[in-house]
Amino acid sequence: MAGGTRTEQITRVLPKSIRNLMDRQAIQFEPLQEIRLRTGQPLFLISAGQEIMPKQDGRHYQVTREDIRETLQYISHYSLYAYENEIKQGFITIEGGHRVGMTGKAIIEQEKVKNIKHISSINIRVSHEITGCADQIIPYLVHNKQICHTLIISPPRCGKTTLLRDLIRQISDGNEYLQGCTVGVVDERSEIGGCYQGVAQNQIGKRTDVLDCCPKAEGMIMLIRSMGPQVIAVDEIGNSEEIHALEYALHCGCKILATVHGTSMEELRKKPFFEQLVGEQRFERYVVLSNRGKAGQVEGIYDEGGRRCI
Amino acid sequence: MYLKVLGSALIIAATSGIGYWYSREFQKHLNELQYLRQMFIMIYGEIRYTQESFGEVFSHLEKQLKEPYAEWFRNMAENIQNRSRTSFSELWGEAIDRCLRISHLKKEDLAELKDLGAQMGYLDADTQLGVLKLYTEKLEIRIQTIRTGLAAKKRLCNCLGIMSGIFIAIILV
Repeated sequence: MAGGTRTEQITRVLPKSIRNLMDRQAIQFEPLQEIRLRTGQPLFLISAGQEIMPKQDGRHYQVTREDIRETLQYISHYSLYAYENEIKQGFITIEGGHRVGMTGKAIIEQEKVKNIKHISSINIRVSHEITGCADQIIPYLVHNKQICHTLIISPPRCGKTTLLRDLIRQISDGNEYLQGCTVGVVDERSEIGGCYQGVAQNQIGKRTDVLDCCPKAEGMIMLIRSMGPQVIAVDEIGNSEEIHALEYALHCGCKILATVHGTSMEELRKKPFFEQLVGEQRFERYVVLSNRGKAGQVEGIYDEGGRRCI
Repeated sequence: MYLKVLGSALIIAATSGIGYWYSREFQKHLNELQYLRQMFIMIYGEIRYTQESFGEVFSHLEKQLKEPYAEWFRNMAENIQNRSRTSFSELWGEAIDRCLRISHLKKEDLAELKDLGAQMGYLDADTQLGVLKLYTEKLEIRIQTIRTGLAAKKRLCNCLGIMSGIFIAIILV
């Protein structure tokens, strides 16, 4: 892995004081989901769904302004200018596809967020690659040896990107249910492929082409024109441009794999733009996820008419 | 007599050589400054065109540079990747000390180059490019100043070398 192991990828962006603290307390990196740094507040680690507040000299470790500054230097490779667009959106994706969210004071220009200054909170969300997590649902998403147009509906932190990644891998490599086919991925936030210098660090299959850091709407059209994918995969669609691009892809004969924030089919039907998509039966399968019991829990799979398959 | 002539000739040749060496050093210093300016124009262009981080910029450019500058950039790219220091200026200063001691840049050039590190890494793209442009312009002015007096200095070094040789030979003989 060009960017090192997952532990290295995460520790590399942490300030030295927190690195040492985690070393001393022998914090396990495998189950780690989030690391939250807030200026003047205790350090929070979310591990296997549990909150941990590491202690130093008997007291909870307090995150300092210097810790935040140091972390920013590390996540931006000492080059904040290169991440202006990402910071404007509120997050940076680092090697390995881990997402670093940040908040502070927004700088507004012409009623749009131009940048964020005085960054005071940082949330490092550890990307988890779970090979085989789509094994159970893939038989329901295949019809006549072909993948169906599929929309994954899930609230945040329920594993939709992880599931999408494994679906991409299986569709690309092929399995007992379908033959391997060319998959084009528009990875706007570098979370699916976790690309480092253009090369995917996660397992996304041997027939997969990734358009990294590209806006989804533009990227889908670029992929269709340039790479002729049989399947197009995108994460977190939502705005009108993305829906238009999605419809364009549907008309071009590409199969679609997409995810959207939501908790149920009912909620999806109420969302702007999706009401029409569902009504016109553009998607053939809907997979609803939750974190009941564990992240990535499949609540139900529905067909194009919204009838429950499982 | 022959020995005196031979000794005088050797002295004059040696001092002339020293004079010539000094004049060559002036030329090399100018060449290095010109090369440094060229490097910063390349950095400026890479950042403006691709908005890549310093690590990627150094990693791309090191292949196109001569030593010891290639080593300097290689060192920077590796240390940025490893996040071996808490700030860019620390990395920058250390790499200059380690790699550019053998260059023909003078102490004041290296000090100015190190100072530049304090203004890199934490700025927005426009300001970062502005800082790089300003440094390139400063280099340009320095190059112009050195170039203006270079011919006279080289002549002086050559003349002093020969003249001092003759002077020493006369005194000794």
